[in-house]
Amino acid sequence: MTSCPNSHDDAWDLNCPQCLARIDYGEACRGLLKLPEASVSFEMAEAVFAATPKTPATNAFTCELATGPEKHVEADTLTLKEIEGGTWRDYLEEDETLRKWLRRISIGRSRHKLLIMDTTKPISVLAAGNASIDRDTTVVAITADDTSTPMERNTSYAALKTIHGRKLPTILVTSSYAENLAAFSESSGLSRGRRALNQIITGYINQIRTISSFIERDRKIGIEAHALSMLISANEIVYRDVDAAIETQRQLGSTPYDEEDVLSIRLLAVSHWERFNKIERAYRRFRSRYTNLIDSEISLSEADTRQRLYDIHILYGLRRDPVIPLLREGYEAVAKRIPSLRWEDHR
Amino acid sequence: MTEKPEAEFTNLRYGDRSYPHGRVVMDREADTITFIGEKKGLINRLLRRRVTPIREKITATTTIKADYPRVTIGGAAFELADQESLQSIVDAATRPRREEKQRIERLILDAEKTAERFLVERGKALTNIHDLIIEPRKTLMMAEEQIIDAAEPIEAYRKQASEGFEDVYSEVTSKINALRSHVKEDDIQRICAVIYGVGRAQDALFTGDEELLSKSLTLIERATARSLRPEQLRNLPITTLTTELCTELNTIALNIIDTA
Repeated sequence: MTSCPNSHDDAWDLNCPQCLARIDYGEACRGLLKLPEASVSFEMAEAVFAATPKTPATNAFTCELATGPEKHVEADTLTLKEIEGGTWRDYLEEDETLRKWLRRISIGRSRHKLLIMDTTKPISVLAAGNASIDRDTTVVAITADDTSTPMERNTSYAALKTIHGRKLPTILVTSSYAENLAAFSESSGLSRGRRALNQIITGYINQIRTISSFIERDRKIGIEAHALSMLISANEIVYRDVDAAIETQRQLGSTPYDEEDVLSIRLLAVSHWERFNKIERAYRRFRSRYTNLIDSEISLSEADTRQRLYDIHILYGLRRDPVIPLLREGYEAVAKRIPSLRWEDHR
Repeated sequence: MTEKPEAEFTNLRYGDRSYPHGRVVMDREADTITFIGEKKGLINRLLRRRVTPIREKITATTTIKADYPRVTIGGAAFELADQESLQSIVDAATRPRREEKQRIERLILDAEKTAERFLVERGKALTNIHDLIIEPRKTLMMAEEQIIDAAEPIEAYRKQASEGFEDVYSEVTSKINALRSHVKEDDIQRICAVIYGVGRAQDALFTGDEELLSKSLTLIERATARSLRPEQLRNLPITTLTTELCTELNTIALNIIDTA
């Protein structure tokens, strides 16, 4: 700020235009030592994909941790050298490499954080336990199930136990569920399996505020494990009405769970506004069947499509992780034969 | 050229003393002029009896006038027999003045270069911080290890970006202060106004403040009495704008040298 000795501001001349006093620009130059204020802002959401291909999302930073023939570092991908026959324990050696890379790409700076990982893959345990993954990160965990090998179950068990040990909120998706998924969108058509899962995850990132709010509310009532079910691009031709569409969700959970263990139900619907009332009514009937509910919530997001399609996402807050018991036998079988793969010894 | 040019003089007047002839000797190393008069009278001339020499120190401010055959140096006015002698004596006598002028030129140009370095470093700092704001992840990705390992990498990056120009600032002020006894205060004021104007123009580009840019350029125009072309400057990157505007600093420095 240039000011004259007689306190007339904003002179911008060699002499004050009001009183003609000389402006002391030598003193004014001292002000140049201070740079203008400007805040640094990151994308609203960030997602780390571990052992599963990353998917781009608008207004979000996505990056990937993978393994490959050679170690390779990029701004959005860290490829660790694949260890032949390597187990999750072998990859823990790379913990510092991963920590430094995540720090270098400023992971943890966005308001909403996701870690999406295939827990059947060894590097998932490395990602789950890394110090650069904040405690308010929501994990989408693709887990082993009864179709998985004992080794995969052992790895998945170790990754899930690591996540639970850090009290990270988790959305559980079994491998079989992910493989059998199908999703349709007017823009990209039909996709199946992991591609469909990626499409759904992109949808989650786009709705990250609502999803984060759901997870945060569950966290406040002590819920960490979640299952989900979803209906993408539904319409009245396939489902008689919204009631029928939502009712089918009972059978379409991303992981097997006992209905008595469901403590919260949170529904996100993306639809034309004219359908909102029907969805709300159907949601109330749907949730009434869960007898142990502590909390429930519905969020309606307006979207118009040419064919008046609608999406339903339901997040089930669970009393306990239902996958861990399914994996224990396979985990123990491996841990007995290979004691180094006993997760409890690595805590 | 000898270090002590000398010549025969006639008609020397020095205060209330006068000598019809004698020798004048310039000592370049000591910057003194010495008049050795001869006493009047034939005997004295034959014996070359001399009076106490008149010795005067020559400085950058000593008055020197030459209009052949008459020469005035300080309090001494005398005549020389030929042009060559006159040239040799005057050259030697004006050396302190020339050297002082060169010294002041160096001081002005040195201050100008230091100010330019300050502004260029400041422009670089703003550019780096601008990169951090636009693409924080990419910018930090390229940052040094010590920044990434800092407790607050963003603050560490900002701090490191600012260090370059902050260090130069004290040099700028000391070099401008060194000018004060040689250059008019108005000229110092003009130099500082241009430095300030360039710095604020940098800030204007950084923040996208059109009004501030316009005011800053007006200030530079008033200090240099030259017209700028704001429409061509407002879309430049900060570093290019700095380079462009620093030519105004150079212009003002040369202008001061011319009038010094």
